[in-house]
Amino acid sequence: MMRALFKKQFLEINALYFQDKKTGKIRSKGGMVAFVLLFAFVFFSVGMAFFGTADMLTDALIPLNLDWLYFSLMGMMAIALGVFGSVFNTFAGLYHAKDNDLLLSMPIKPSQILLVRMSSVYAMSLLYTSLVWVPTFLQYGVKTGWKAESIGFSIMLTFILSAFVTVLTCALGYVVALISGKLKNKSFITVILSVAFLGIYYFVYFKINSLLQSLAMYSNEIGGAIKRWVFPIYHLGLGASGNAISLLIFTAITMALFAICTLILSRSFIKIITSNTSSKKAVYKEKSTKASNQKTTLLKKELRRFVSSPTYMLNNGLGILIMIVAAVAALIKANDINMILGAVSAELKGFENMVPVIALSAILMFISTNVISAPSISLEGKHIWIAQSLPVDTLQILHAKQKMHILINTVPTVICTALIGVSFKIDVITTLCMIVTAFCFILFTSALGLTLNLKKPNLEWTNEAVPIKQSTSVTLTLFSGWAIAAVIVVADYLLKGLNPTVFLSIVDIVLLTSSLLLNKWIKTKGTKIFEEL
Amino acid sequence: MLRIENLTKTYGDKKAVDNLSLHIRPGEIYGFIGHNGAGKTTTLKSVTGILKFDAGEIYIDNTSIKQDPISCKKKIAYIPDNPDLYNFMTGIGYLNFIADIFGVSAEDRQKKIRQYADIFGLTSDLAQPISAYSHGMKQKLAVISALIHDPKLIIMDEPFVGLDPKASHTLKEIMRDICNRGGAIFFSTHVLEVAEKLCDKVAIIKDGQLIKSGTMEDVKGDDSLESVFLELED
Repeated sequence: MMRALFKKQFLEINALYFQDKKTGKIRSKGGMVAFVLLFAFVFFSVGMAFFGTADMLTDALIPLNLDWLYFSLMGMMAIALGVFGSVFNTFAGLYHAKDNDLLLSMPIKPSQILLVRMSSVYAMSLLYTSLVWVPTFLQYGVKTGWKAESIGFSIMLTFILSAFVTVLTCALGYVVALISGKLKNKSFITVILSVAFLGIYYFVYFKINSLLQSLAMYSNEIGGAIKRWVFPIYHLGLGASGNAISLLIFTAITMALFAICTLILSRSFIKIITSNTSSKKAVYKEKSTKASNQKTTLLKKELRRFVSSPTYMLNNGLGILIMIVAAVAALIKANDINMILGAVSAELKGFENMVPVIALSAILMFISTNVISAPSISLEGKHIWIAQSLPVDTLQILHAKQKMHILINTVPTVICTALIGVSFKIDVITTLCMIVTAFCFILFTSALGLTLNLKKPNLEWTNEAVPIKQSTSVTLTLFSGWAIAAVIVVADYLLKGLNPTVFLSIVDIVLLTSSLLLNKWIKTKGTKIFEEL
Repeated sequence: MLRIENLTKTYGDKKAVDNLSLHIRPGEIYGFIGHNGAGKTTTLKSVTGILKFDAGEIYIDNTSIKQDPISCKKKIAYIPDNPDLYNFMTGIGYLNFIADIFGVSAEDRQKKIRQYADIFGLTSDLAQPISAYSHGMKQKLAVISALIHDPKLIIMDEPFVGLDPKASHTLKEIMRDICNRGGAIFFSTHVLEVAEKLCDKVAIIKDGQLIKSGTMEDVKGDDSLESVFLELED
């Protein structure tokens, strides 16, 4: 029976990679080859990044004879990546599988169902762990020579470490299962967690050199802390560097944790999957309502659509946050920036005049990432009949989508541009001109995104990530925005000597004219396209 | 209330609706039956202004849907065969959205929501996101949202699918009540027993063409609607 269950699970994993999610059919041979190549390329690229990190760590730690610490630190990275990579799918994979009812109706123990599901988590963990662990022992081999026991132990540890990651991931999945029903505003929590992760990632990325320096300086203290507080990781490090007893200890700890985890999870398994914790019922209490006009109602609907989807917010709105962070960072580092600008200005004639345009161009690039209107037609999806059957002018529906784009972008853009103006010591008039140009750019991108989505709509999606992340309209709007930002800088360079306010006024006219033309198209042809979708 | 004149709609080479004419008067419940793919949904979507048609005219209360779609849409409500509602809204959020679009005052909507949500047993679920609703609950919400602005004409595509027996019974009573108050209902169904009992008039469509229409007595005579339908289909 377990064999049949594992076979089913294997087919499920197989379908995940080799089945077209849109049509449900097995990918063609060409499609499969392309998919495998793409997968191999991504795996290789990410692996190379960790190979680079391992290179820096080996240089810092091996001369100090802290080989075990090198493996421990890389092991912790593998665990972090493995847990972060798998945890989002674990909760759904363990508890929200579509075949729950079917399997529970069969003579199968819950612990067996759980074990089979955990094998999927293990496969995922193995994939993520290998991304770090394989470059780790390859780099070690390159630096210290290839020792048979170290290679053998490292390969064994890839599988054991993946089991360790599986335990942590399943435990986190269990915690998510317990608290998910009690959480409110899940979309915002997901966004905050994702942004926090990105923040930590970039912090570590930019600070990697100073972190490595600190590591070299305080390696004994860090090593001591690992020995004291996370002794399994200490034994992981020792085991990977060739200590057989430590390898056995780490394996025994992992197996024991795995057994405990399986026992705890299988005891609550049925209770969790049969209780409706994911939708803790909010009971309706009648409140006095306030009627709104059609324009406000349509705008509110667009806003609700945006804030209800972490995918939409993260992929098409993250630039808002980045803009504010960048502006605050510029303010903090204002002295350094002005020193650099002063030095460049001394070297390059006319550069001083270009500073506002270059700064504005960077802001426009941030704005370009907030392509909120670009997937807005596709996101109507199966609900489009509602908008089409309501007694509302089609242009009003399309304007609501544009207004949403403008509204979300304008306030952070004004704040960001004003702060940049202060940081770069740009005069008030020029800063105001920059704000006006940025606003004209927002008007333009709102119209461009909507136009492109009307031209290339996709209402047949099953996963909203498709129109949000993989659509032609989003990609084209994003890259067009970046291209325009670059063209503005090039044009300013070619028109050297032109006063920034005059140059920006010309840009305003071009952007406004383009927006008007796009809006004219939306009004005439765009509305017809929407009505016939 | 609804006049369809020589309606024709093609998809590529295929005529989905071919020269169809119907007249639905105030106070009538008009059933629309036909096999799968006969052209029922295309006709209903054309009437509601969702689909543009190739030829013919549709008048709602003597106003052409081609010439003035917005004033026509203000008078009608549409319940589709599959109630795909905004999953990102709560039930009450959706009802308020529809009420705002139709300009229903705060007082009126509250009264209607209270009345219909109670009748359909949906009141306690209104604060839930629509994504958590079952098919039947979505169908009930779609019905309530259709009734919230007192439409003169209700267009329904398979309205009883997914409804529990009590809700089906309630909907039938509401349909009759609307017609008694001068409204009209045009709906498609595969459940011929329902059509037979509920409708004042019936139209049978086959391959996009109207093959029989009139009062229930005219269409079925002494036979059952089912036997007439099967005979005409053959």
